Amino acid sequence: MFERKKTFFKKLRRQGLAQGERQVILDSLVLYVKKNPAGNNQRVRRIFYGSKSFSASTNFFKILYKPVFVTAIIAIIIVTGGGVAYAAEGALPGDLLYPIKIHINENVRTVIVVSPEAKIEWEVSRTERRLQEAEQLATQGRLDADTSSKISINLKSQSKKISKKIKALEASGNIDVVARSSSNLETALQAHKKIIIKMSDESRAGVNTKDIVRDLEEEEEEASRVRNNAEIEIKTKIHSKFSQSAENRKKSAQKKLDETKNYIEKWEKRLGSEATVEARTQIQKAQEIIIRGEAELNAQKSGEAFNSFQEAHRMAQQARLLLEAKKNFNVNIIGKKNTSTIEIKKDKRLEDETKKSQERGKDKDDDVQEDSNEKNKQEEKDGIDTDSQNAIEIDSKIDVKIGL
Amino acid sequence: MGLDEEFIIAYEKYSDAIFRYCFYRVYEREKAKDLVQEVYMKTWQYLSKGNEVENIRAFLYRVARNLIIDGSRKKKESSLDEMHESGFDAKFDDRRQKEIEIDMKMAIEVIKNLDEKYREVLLLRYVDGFSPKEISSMIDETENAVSVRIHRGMKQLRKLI
Repeated sequence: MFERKKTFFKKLRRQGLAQGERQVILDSLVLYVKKNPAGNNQRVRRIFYGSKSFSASTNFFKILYKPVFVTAIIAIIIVTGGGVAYAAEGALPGDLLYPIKIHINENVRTVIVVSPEAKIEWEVSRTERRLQEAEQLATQGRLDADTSSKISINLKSQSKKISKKIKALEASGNIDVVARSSSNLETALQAHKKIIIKMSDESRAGVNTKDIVRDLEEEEEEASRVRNNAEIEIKTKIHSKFSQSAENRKKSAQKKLDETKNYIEKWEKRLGSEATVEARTQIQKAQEIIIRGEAELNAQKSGEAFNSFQEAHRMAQQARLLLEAKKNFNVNIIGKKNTSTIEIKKDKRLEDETKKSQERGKDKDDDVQEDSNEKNKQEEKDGIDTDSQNAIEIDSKIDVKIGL
Repeated sequence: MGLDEEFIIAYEKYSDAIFRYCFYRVYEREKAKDLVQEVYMKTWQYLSKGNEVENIRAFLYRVARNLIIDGSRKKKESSLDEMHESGFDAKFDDRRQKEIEIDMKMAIEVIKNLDEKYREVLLLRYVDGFSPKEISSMIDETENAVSVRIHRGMKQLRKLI
């Protein structure tokens, strides 16, 4: 009897899970555990109550970044009809949805974009997004030292990415793309730098911009240098081979101009008369430069025409960015008449210099830099706020204004 | 060692036993597997909220038991015929295994015919190896009551074999 009992129960003990079955259940448990990590509730609460620190959201993003979650989030996006993704677009550093904006929305775009041209354009746009976020944070008084340095880190990595791409483009001979993207970048950096400086000038509460402004200046210098080099090279281009590029650049310059015109008309009341008058003057000048470019094209000077169209594009872009600043943040920069003329003067001066150095046959880079350095020093003394190569002076100016 | 690592170890150690426990209540393999998953998920919910568990093994059994009781409250007990049909989808390959399977089927038949109360304690005692003391904490009965039940269960079992 005893024996039978033993063997009887032994038989029952044989019932169990097969290895495969056990693994299946284990897999779902592992997912479940990851979805509900221990102590998770705390972190979520912190994020909801607007924590300024990034550590909460960086841990959150690490979890979000797992393949399981990308799938889950894509599913959510599909179900909500893109609602979550759309909402994430407006997210700022420190917001709950910000990781979605950066790691999903933006990465999706990075993957979708194929041609090297479009890729670098996208990276430039990304830089602009970071700057717009910084400005919105400044308006909300959320741009503290911590956030500022984090944005600065972001900007630096963007800048590295763009430099890499530019080098690749230079190597593969796509000089017109280099000229175009560095021009766009330079203009964007310049405009946003002004906006941000102005914001801290006006001592908005919780605005700490030292790191960011310093980065912007470095990057602007770099972009400017790249652009100038590219334009010098373009000048020497043979007309027959380059005329198409010049034509394309003209089209985009005209398009930008028209867009800006429409923008002015649409938002005239919001922008106020001072800004709109200024902007219209800029637009007018830009239009004249396009006409000049057309003349150059006809004279078979497509390299120079390209550069003229670039200039016109830059002016239109600048006007547009500064108008946006006025509309969104009520930051008035375009009112300074001096600034816009200085830009034109500086560019023209650089053009003259490059012509001279070409004739002299010296090393173009050094000359251009040297001469513009001197000119800028002169302007500094005249008390005009320009984009100086002389970083130290600018720094001290900013320090004084912020009162640091 | 992190909480999640301990948890996974508890799965490796006891999932088989929990499965068995569930299987001898519901007699359907798929249902038993689902229950195992549910048991562990509920346990994780409890753990991840910061609750301490001294004896994870006993805890798992308790969760399983409660789940089964809740489940059977919702459903009426299926007919004996149904149970008869669905109890036997164990994975076995060769002939020796076949023999074992037949053996097991017979054993399962036998315990199916036991009273629920006796079956439970007998399985816990002789299949899972819990002591009467442990069993008493798991099923909310006194140790004495457990011993009596085991004794009576064995009597009934002998009659059936």
